[in-house]
Amino acid sequence: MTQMRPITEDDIQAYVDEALDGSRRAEVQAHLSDHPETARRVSRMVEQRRMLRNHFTGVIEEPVPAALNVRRMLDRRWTPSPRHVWRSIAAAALLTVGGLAGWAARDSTTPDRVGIGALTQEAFHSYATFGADTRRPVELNASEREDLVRWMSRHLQRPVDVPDLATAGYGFIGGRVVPTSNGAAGMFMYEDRDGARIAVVLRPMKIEVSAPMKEGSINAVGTVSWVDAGIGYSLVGNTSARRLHPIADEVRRQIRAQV
Amino acid sequence: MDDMVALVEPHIPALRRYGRSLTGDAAAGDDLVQDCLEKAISRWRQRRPDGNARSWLFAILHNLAVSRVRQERRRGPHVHLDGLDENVLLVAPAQEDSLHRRDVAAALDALSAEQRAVILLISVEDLTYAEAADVLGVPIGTVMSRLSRARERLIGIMEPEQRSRPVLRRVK
Repeated sequence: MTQMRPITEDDIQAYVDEALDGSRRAEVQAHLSDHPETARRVSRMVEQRRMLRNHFTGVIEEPVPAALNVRRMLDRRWTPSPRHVWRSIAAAALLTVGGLAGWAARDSTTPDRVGIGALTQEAFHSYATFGADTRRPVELNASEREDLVRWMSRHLQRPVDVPDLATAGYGFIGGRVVPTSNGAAGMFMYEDRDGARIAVVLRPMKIEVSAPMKEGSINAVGTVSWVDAGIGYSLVGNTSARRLHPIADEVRRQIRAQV
Repeated sequence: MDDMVALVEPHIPALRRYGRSLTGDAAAGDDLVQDCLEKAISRWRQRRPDGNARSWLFAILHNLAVSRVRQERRRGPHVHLDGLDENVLLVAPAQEDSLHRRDVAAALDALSAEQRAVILLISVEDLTYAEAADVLGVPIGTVMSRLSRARERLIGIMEPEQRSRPVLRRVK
């Protein structure tokens, strides 16, 4: 028979915590039966452990307060961050300055309230909010495409379909109806392999029936907007309008082909 | 982010328990947990994907608690446990003969922050010694010796007449 390893204080603690394997546990037990002093101390520690556990078990049964709801925390985290609010303020300032002077219009979009400039602003705001949302960028995802199309068609009061941008390297991830000051608009969201997102925002136009493509940029977000058959479209993304332009051409081509 | 919710959510009740037992206060404990979760969310990507979510979360919570105690110093001077005179922290025993009648929370409060942490992590939260070592940022040997001393002290606080029992020498 091999010599038993001496019982250490670590063994005693592990015994109290029920962390020993069976054979070592038996050895400690044998040791305790020969050492009543230690055995008494151990039984006190076991009792102490039991008391502590009992004392705090109630917390586990309590419902977790809303403030500690991780999902909610995530949602809150991705709703307009100070940066986005700041962007909105900046965009609003551009509107004012543009109205007064017009110099801002060169690099920005036409600051009007109903036309293609407004559409571009609306698209920018939707993209700034949802495009940066890692948790819920879309209300209905790609697998719910039919529901999305139905929902959007109902709000826009005309049939819409999802442009396919796979050839441009962007996969469809879903979309949602978004509110604008000119009524509901639809937004389709796409993502490339690196997770970079672009969005197509569309809504019926009140005045324009058609307008050529117009490039713009708002706070580093590129925009390409146009109007076709009374529907305004704006393609937005965190890239230059020049790079978005061929994708916009593809969107327009597909939509024209559907009609 | 769904994987994050799935990995974090199951630990929230235990985090609340640790926060509350550590601070001795429900609201303060939940505040700690809320800060802990915010931090976990923002650091989620930096965490080792194969790592232990439980000890990672407890470590965040523990470090927040430590820095908060440092800020507030509500519990009086922070004394380092190892090498401390046993009697420094010993509260005057009340005239009580039973372990059961002594308020557990009050007894815990009489421990140093380091002792309280180790005993709660192991006795109550059931962390393994290795996990506790991770959370506390100390070697396992330190966890073991702190645990032994913390338990001994708690016995002394709860049953003053039972102190000074033989403690086996630690063998490395």
